[in-house]
Amino acid sequence: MNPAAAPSRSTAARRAWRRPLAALARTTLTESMQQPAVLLLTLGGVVATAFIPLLQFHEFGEPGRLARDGALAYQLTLGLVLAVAAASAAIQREIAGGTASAALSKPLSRDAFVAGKFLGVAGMLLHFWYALLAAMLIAERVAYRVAGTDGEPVGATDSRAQAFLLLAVPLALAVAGLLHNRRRARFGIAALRGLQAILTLGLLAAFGFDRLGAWRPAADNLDLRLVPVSLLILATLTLFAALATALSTRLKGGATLVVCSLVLALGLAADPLLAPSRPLPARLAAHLLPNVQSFWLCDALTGGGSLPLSYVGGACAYAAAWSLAALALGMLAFRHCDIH
Amino acid sequence: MNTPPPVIEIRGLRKTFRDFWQRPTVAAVRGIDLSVGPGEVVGLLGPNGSGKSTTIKLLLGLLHPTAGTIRVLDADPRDTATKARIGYLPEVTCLHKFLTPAETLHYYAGLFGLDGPTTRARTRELLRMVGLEAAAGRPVGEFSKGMARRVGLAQALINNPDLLVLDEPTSGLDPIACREVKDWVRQLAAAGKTIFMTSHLLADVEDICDRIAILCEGQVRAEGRVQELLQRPDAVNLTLEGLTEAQIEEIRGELARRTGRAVPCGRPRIDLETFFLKVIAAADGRAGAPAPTADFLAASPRTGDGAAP
Repeated sequence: MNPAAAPSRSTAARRAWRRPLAALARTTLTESMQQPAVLLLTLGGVVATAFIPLLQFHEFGEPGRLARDGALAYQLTLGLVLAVAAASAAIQREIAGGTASAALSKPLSRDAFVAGKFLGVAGMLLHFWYALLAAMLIAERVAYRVAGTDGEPVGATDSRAQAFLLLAVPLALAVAGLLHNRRRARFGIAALRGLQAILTLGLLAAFGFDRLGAWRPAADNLDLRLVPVSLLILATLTLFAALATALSTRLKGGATLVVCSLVLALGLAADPLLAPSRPLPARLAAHLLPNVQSFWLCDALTGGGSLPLSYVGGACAYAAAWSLAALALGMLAFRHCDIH
Repeated sequence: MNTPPPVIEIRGLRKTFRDFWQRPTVAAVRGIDLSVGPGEVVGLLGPNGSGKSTTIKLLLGLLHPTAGTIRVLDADPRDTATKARIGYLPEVTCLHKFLTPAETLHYYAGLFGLDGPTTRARTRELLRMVGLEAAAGRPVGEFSKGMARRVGLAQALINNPDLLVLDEPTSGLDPIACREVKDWVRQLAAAGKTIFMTSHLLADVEDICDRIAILCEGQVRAEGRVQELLQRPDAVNLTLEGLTEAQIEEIRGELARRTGRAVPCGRPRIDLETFFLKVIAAADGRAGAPAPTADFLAASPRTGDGAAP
């Protein structure tokens, strides 16, 4: 045998864990995306985002602000519910249902099991986030201002974008129903993918056409400053998915939800807790817990401001480090527990 | 001549479950010693709560023993390389209900690190073997218990294992499927696989197993070869065909004269399973087509033989 053609030992070792990990992550992603809660929360988030521009008389002095603040809030709140519920279900439900013991009786380490479950849930969150991000970018351009006859700015509406956004969900459901009927496609997954495809077409159209419907491709047809702010929310969701995955190796769904809610509450209060006047335990807790305030920065866009990419990079690295630490603790906890 | 090491070696195995505060709650296994040799079919019998499933989960490294040692294929049961040589059918068929049988087998093949062509070939062979080719595109959540059990059996064989651990393999199956499973187990044993199984159905164990161990309250109460355990060394059966009533009476009289007591005499019965299968076969006109297990065994190289990376 030609030694040059033979795969090295390290390559073989990499393949040995990569395939099982990929198989587990893929199946977890499929299972998660097929859950009714994922479909309901994603579609609900897009519908709610689509309806915000209809309330544009509450624009807080800045067109599109209500749309972006509201949409970002939906991303965070619905996403947190989804992250915790999906991560908890992916581990605890599988242990209770026996599929975990079937998987762990195969040549799959417990560390790889935890990592694979997290990757699957993170993939599902990415789908959810993308749908809501696309909806937010389109919703943000619906409400705008033009100069009135007296020279004063007056509110106007991009009715094409508004109509498209309102029709996206019914259209996605119709496509999914058709695919389910004709090709036995999984309804939930088909609806989510259909929605993403429709919203992507909407983004492309929004990029190409201005608010009056004229062909004028330009980057400022969409407020791309929203993307880094939304990326920070994805980082928060990933962080809480990692925390919920780690906790689920030992705790039931209810207990995981309670602990995650507590961490969220303390994380939102991290800045005041870090003040030097606070007692040491409070400051220590604030340092150890994820500082959620660092990820909620929609105010940075007020008055035409934007978020520096260096800040986004740093915050994402912080979230990644915190997620890895949480997962490492979860793996340690899972190594020695009995799987019934 | 060297004796091959046992496939399963259990010594002084104990398992005590504990509550959240680490207080002992149930002593499920209380000192089991058991050895299973290569190519043997061994059955673990016992009433509910006797520790059968706990023993199996200890064998697979899913539970951690409180005391004692377990060696499976001459390695620790938690060793992932060892697990690549084991096939496991859980007591309750646990499947991802949104996946189709083919996707389920692809998933488990992925966990074994099998490559694409091997996965596709084995999936095709196993679906044919368990008779689910026609239902390969339906989600397993729509399946009956028996169909789900077939998928479970197929996933247990996806790696063409050296050791097959079957927890209640015929549970939930109709008599025809039960017979098929028993035929598959026999064929797998004939192909050199070691099989360790539990069952509540004593007749199934008697049909399939070379050896049995009877577990009660976490301890082995009886162990040995089925024939030896069930045989009455002080009695003998004679089955004679084509005799008239007069000849039967004559033989009974002669036996009574020689033994000094009356000899019971009756007509032998076939078992209900055989009768049922004959009736069904006659009704649908099938003559018991051979199971394609042999094809699967011939076509599938072992996981350790180069099919997997």
